Parts: sequence; structure tokens; C-alpha cells
Amino acid sequence: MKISKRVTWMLLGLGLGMTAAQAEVVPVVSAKSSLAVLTRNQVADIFLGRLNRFPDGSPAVPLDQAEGSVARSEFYNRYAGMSSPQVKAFWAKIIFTGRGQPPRAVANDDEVKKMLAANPRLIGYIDQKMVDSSVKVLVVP
Amino acid sequence: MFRLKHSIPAGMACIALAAPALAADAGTSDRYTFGGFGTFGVVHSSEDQADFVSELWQPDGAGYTQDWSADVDTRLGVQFTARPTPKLSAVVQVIVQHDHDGTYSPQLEWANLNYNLTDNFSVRAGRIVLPVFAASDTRKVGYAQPWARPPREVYMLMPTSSSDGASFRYRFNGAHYAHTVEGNYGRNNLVGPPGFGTIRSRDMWGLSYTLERGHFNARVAHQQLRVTGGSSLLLEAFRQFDAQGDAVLARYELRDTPYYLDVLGVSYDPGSWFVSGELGYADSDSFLGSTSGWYVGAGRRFGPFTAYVNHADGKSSVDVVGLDLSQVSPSLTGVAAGLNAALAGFIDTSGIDQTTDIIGVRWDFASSAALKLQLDHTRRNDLSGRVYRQVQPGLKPGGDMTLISIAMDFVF
Repeated sequence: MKISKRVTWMLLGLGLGMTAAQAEVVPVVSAKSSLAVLTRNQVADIFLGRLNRFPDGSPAVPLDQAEGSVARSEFYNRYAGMSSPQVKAFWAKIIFTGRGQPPRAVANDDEVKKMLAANPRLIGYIDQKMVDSSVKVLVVP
Repeated sequence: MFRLKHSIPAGMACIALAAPALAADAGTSDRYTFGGFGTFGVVHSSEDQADFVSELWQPDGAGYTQDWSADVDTRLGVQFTARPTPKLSAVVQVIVQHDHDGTYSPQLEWANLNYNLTDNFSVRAGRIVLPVFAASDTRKVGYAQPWARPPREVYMLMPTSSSDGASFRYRFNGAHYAHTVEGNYGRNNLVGPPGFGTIRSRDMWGLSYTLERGHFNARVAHQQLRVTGGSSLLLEAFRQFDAQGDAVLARYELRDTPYYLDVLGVSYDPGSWFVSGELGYADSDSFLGSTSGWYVGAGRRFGPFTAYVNHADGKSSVDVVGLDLSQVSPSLTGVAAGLNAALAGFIDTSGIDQTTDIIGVRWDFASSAALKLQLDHTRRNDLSGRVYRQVQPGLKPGGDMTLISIAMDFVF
């Protein structure tokens, strides 16, 4: 199983362009949130623990998807320009200097939507095809 | 081929047994987290007249003592973090690695309380690892670095690594730039290898400023301290020459001696490639003299592979001023001349003058583990004994050394 994960990862790494076309991952907040726009850097900074408030001053809490998921690697590749191992190494530096912990992670798009509906402070990411009325897609100019 | 002392398996097994139990209780909770990191590494050195070590207080390593050594890079770290409130956190990190006395015994690396006064301003009290260079405070977390270990020509400029005291951090995000100011004050006792005694650092303080813009990062830092330690029988021998001898002793010994270090670093990492460089200058009125070190490196990421190169340079300079033989009583001139020669030799052995070129590859073969293969080629322009241990009389000034490092880094 580990081997097949590894092979998948290598294929992902080699064919980033292909996967980008397959899954369009978009940042989302609760439909009740007043937030509409974030810059790409702000999205990345919130997920990398560098920013803990939205531009209006309200607390921002990032919600990750499971490690090894396509959505997760696609999200960090697109918004932070980082591969999964780079993100992991980035957090190792933060964790082992006692400076913080990575965002909480949930299993899939549905779990993200469920969590977001209950908490307007949360920001997550899901496959564009999974967007429904419970969430709002953020405009990232 | 490898000499693994039985204390490693015993110590590591204890931690490995304790880990799942703790993780089951705490690993999933946000309030308490348990994790760790480690490296299993072997190093071969082509220089058989001195030992290559990764930390200056290690008693031996690869080269003279062992052809291939597992002691240089192998280590295990475990960390427990508690966040009783959103503002307060406590961290304890223990590392097991080849220690000053040749055993593998746990050492307390981090143990502090952190309090977030505001979103941007935090203070800490307890033991911290000094963030002198860009990777100082995570240099033992192999997984967090592209290379097998940070360039020694630069990272050896700081004679100690941790500080017991207090520190602060202020970070603010501008429209395009993020700024971070950090400061620390504390003291430290570092037990050196046999014969070196304890190195005491007092009145240690530092300030740093980091500027970030997108993938660009620039940093300046200053650290200073007063160092006492490493009483040398050779230097003590100068005492017999009264005032003149005392002057020589005072000039070269480390006794409450101020030590200053300034650092400048830049890096750019847009994702698929990176470049980084750091420059450090250390100065003290002692046998260590003034030392400068710098490196520039670059890397390219191809899927799970990272290929990297690095060039580092370290050079120290100290004036050798021994006893004025014309001021010494004629019956002692022979002794004085001998001591002067020994002093010159001691300073020579304690210096550094070398360049190292590194080429390596990192393979992230699993989600939390990476394998590294690295080749170092070091050209010593002089003895460059400061960064080696078990230096033998056969070590010649000048000369080339090739190092092969194979390491598996992991986090959990």
C-alpha cells in the first residue's frame, strides 16, 4: 500500500500539469461568512500559520484535507507553490521549535463542507465540482 | 563495520516504547501533541588522521576512529507540547545522540513556556535553541533541511547552541513585507569532549531582524556572550613567566572573554528551486581570534527528488604573540622558546582555514521520510583542526578530504 502511494505520488510529481486539469481545487468559507476575496499570498499565509486573521480582523482558522489526498497536494501546489514534502518540511521547522502545529485535517470535501457550515471562522479547500450552497468560493485575483 | 554501542538501542527502545502510549492519549488532541524526528546516518571520511564530527562537542566521529561512523549524524528527538490555553504553550524536547562522553544519553534540547501577549508578540522563558543562523534551531531535524547537515564552516561560528533565559518575538505583516524581530537573553553550560571541560556562556544576548517578501527572505542577527572554558595546560604553563606570562595567558585564554557574532543571510525559494547564502563573522580576544565563514547553495526539485550543491568557506586569523625572549632570564630562554613554539602550534591546530564543496540528492520516498546521499569535498588550506576531533600528529596542513554521507531522516 505504501509502495502504491509512493508511485502515485511520483506520478503526481511528474505530471503536475495533468493533475491540475483533473481537479480544480478552490478555497472556500462558510456561506454565512462575509469574506469574499483573498489574495493568493493571504490564502497561503493562513494555511502556513503566518497569518491568523482575515483582512476584516476576524480570526482565521485553516482546515486541511488528509495528508496524501489529491486535493491537499493540488491546493499547496497551486496556492503556495510547494510540494507535499516541502509543506511537511516547513511544518517540521515550526513544530520542533515549539512555534505551532499544522492545521487540523479532515478526510474529504464533504467533511470540509460540514465543518465550514458550523463555523464561519474556518477556511478550507474543496474540488470545484463539490461546491454547493453551504459554502462560498473565495475570489482569488 | 559500524560501532554501535548498546546504550543506543536501549535508550531509543525506551522512547520508542513510550511513544505510542503517549501518542494514543495526546497525538490527536490539539491541546497536547507528541511527535518526534530522527536520522539514521553513516559517514565515511577519506582523512584517517582526524575525525569528522557534526557537533564540536562530539568526542569522535568518522575518519581516524572509525572508517564508517554511524555516530556523526544518527539521532532521535521526541517532543511533547501542551497548549492549556490559546495564549500559553509549553514545549519539552529531548534528543538522544552521540554525546560528549561517547555515550548515547538523552539531553534536554528545548524546555520552555511560551506566552502570546498579542497575535504578533510572544515571550518565552526556559531553555531555547538560539536562532543565530537561519537553520540553527532546527539543525538537528534532518528532515527539515535539504542537506545532510548545515555547512560547518558557518555554523561552527557559534560556540554554544542553547540558552537558558528569556526571549521575545515580534512579527508583523505589512502589505507586501513581513517583518520579524527576535531577541534573547540567557546563559548556558556546555559540556565539551574529554579534556575540554565545561564551556560556560554568560550574559548572552542576541537580536535579529528578518524580512520576508513572498519567496524572498533576508536576515541579520547579532549575538554576543562572555565565554569561560577549555582550560589548557599549555596556556597555564605561561604562568611561570610572571607578568609577561600572565599577559600571554590573558590574551589567549577563554576566561569571561567577550565573544561577538554577526550574521547576514538571504534565501529565495519559489518552490521548484532555491538558492540560499549566509555570512558570519565572529570575534574574540582569545586563541579563537576572529573567524569568518560563508556559504552559497542552490537546489532544484524534481518531483520527490531534490538535487543540491553548496560551497562553503571558513577562515580564522589570530596573531601569535608569545614571550619576548629578551625579557626572559637567560636560564629560561630555552623553556620560553619551547613554549612559544607550542603556542604557535596550539593556535594553528585551533584554527580553521578550509573550503567545502557539496553535491547531494534528497529523495522523499515516503510521506514522512527522506533519504539523502551527499558528497563533501573539503580542501584544508592549513591544519583547520578546530572542526575536527582526535587530530593526529599525522594530519598535514593542507590536503583534501572526501566525505560520503548516507542518511535517512524521518518525522512522526
